[in-house]
Amino acid sequence: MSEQTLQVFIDGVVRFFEHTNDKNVKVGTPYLVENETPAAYDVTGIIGISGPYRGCVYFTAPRILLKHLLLSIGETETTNEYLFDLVGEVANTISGNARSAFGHEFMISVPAMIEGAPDHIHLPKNMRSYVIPIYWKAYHAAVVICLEC
Amino acid sequence: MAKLSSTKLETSERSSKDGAKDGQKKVGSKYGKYSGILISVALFILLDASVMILNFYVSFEISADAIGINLAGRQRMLSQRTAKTLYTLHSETSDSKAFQDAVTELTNTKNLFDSTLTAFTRGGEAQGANKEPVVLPKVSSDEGQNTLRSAAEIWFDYKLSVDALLADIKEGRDFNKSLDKALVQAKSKNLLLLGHMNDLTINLENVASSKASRLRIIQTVGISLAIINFLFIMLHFLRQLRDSDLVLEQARKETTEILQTVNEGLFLVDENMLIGNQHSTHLIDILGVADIAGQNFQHLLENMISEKDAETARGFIELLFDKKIKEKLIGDLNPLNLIEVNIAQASGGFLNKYLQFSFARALQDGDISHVLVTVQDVTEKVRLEKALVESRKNSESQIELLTSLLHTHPSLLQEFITNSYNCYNRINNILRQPAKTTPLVKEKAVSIFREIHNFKGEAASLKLEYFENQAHAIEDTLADLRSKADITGNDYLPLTVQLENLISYTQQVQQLTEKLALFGHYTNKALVPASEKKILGNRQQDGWNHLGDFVQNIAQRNGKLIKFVASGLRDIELDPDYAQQVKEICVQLLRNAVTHGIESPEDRELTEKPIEGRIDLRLAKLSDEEMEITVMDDGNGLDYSAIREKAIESGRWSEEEIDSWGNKHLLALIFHEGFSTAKEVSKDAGRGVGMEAVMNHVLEHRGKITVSSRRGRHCRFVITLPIITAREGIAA
Repeated sequence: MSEQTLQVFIDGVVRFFEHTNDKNVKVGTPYLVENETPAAYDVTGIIGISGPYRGCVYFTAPRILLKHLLLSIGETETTNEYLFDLVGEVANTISGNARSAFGHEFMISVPAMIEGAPDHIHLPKNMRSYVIPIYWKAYHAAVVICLEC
Repeated sequence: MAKLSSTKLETSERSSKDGAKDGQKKVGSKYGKYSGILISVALFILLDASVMILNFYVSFEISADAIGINLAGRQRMLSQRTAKTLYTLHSETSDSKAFQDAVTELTNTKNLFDSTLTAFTRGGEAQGANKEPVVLPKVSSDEGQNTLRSAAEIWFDYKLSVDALLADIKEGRDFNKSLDKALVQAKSKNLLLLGHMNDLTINLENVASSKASRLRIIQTVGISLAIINFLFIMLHFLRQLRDSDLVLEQARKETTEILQTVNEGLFLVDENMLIGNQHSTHLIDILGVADIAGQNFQHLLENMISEKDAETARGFIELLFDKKIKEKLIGDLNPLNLIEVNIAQASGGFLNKYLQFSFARALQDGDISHVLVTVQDVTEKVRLEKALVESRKNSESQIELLTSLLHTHPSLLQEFITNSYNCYNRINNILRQPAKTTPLVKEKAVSIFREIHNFKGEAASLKLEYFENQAHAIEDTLADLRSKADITGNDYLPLTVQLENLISYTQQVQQLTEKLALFGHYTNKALVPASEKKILGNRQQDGWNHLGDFVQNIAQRNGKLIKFVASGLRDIELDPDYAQQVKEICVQLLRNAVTHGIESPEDRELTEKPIEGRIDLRLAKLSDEEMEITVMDDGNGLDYSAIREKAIESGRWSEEEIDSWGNKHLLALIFHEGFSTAKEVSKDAGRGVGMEAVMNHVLEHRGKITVSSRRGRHCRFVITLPIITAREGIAA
């Protein structure tokens, strides 16, 4: 998989954060993780991808980051439901960015939100995923990409 | 299934031709099976209508007869009244008013009796009970006519006597005589006349009664016939209906059975792309969608394949509905002949399947009514084919890989792979460490550089060119990163991708070496005695003797001739991880000796040295705790002026500062990060990290480095390090 493809998903997340009042979002150095031990924070929004590349991309973040993010976009409710919706929104932004970058060749599923890490249905055990840390305020989140050709 | 659908197609084509011929007949016999029931119903209505008309007619007659009976009864009364009035005239001569009333009544009674009798006899108008004129039919029965005739004869004389009396009274003549005459007539004929009128009434009643009973018979017969007809309809057609229902039910059952059993997805699509109400059960499994009936086929497709493909499919189906286009001609255009579909799962992912759609026109009366769609799930087949191609490709690339690895002993390779994974893990851990500031991010590039440089050295020492090249490419990427002023984490993306590729490649090599090791395991078992195996594994192939190849390899690449002399390498048993570090130090120093120390054969010839340079590598035990590594070459020695120049070029220090430095200070520079005297970067020199890595290892173990050099004669590195054995390593 090329870095250009990965970049599309990273840009999606960055784009989302750029719409918040604290635009200072930083991308950490990308690293690899074996799918046997997937990387995840508290809440995760997954989108499935199919076409020339297939697999999944997910955004995962700790509750505290999401709560802070909700407040920063003017939302006063920070219940679980709102956190899930927010993660779904981020996943949607990633998917929208990917759609406009890849065109109609790719199929991108609607986001599914879960707590913790995705299971091996999304992450084939014999593969690795790219983890791109996202730093926003004092918090860490990540976008994880597991695609095969 | 393709066969089945094509058979269906032929049948439908043939039936369309026949249909055109028999079109007329077909329309004519459209109600064929219902003609029986139609005729029966028509008969039923006709029968009921006839009975009704007859009933109406007869009841009309009976009502006419009732008037006759009534008037006949009135005749009886009139005969009696005539007699009574005559007696009144006889007794009431004194009261003129009563007399006059009696005269008027006699006149009326006589006239009414007479006109009614005439009407009965000949048919005609008479005064009804309500004083309105009514038309009486002529009495039809012979018996009635006879009675009337007898009554008329009796009435004739009686009437004449009454007429004479009334004429006398009217003229004012003496009427006693004519009254007596009339009374004689009354006395003698009144009872007879009454009897006749009575007979007439009875006769008329009998006629009416016979008509009523006739009507009853007609009604009974008519209704009976209607009931029989109805029962016939009921029994016959119910049976027919039940039979045809049975046939239909049977057909429906068969269709359902076929649709439930068939392995393919079968359904019909109409001109508006709507899916029919029936489809095979398997279709739900194949498409992974529950409510298929009535859905729009294109929308269904858009959820599984790209919009572009779904649009092409719609165009193709439109063509199938175009009568002018021959089906066979466009068969090859089917865009869904073999298509990968992606069925979205509730959990967020996609289920990938390969489906084969085939389309056939379904004809009805020569028109294309629907398109029959057959779907087959060929995922397994396609996957197997792909796996076959993949494994063929794999075998080819494995053979390629094998040839590139054959020169390396499997156990060395195994060790290299283990070391590689450790190296990758260290690099990945460096990447994983959170770093939010630019210096911290930049620092990572430096740390990774050290790791990959050592890795490159090891790969080069084993002549594993692919690894060496990849490591070199990573070094290039890192060099770019290090030169970048405003570096961010995102800039490391190409590096991570390279690392991933390298790991994937290493995995392939590992699989292959595992296979080879297995092979080796069996052959070793068969050929080598157990006692010798340890020596083979631990002593002779422990990774030291390839250093000679490594030196020759670099020498060849740099156009140098070298004699490599190594000694004492296996005299000290070290902890494997520690031995690896020691090897890395040796590799680095040897690399430096070849690239920087030994001159080219031409240069050596000019300085009257033997054209073959010499490098010595010696490992010696100083005590139980200490050992010494010596790398010495008879090359050009350290070029302090070149180091000075490079230092000035780097711009890190001022020229005056550098001028003030002695050789010792300049020597320290070669252990600095990013410092190299090589003119350009190559696989073997120029990065300026090798010596820094050596220094790091030495510092880590609190060792010591001594460098001695004589310009044009030699250069010697002596490194003192502690001895760490396997047991100590574990304990540590």
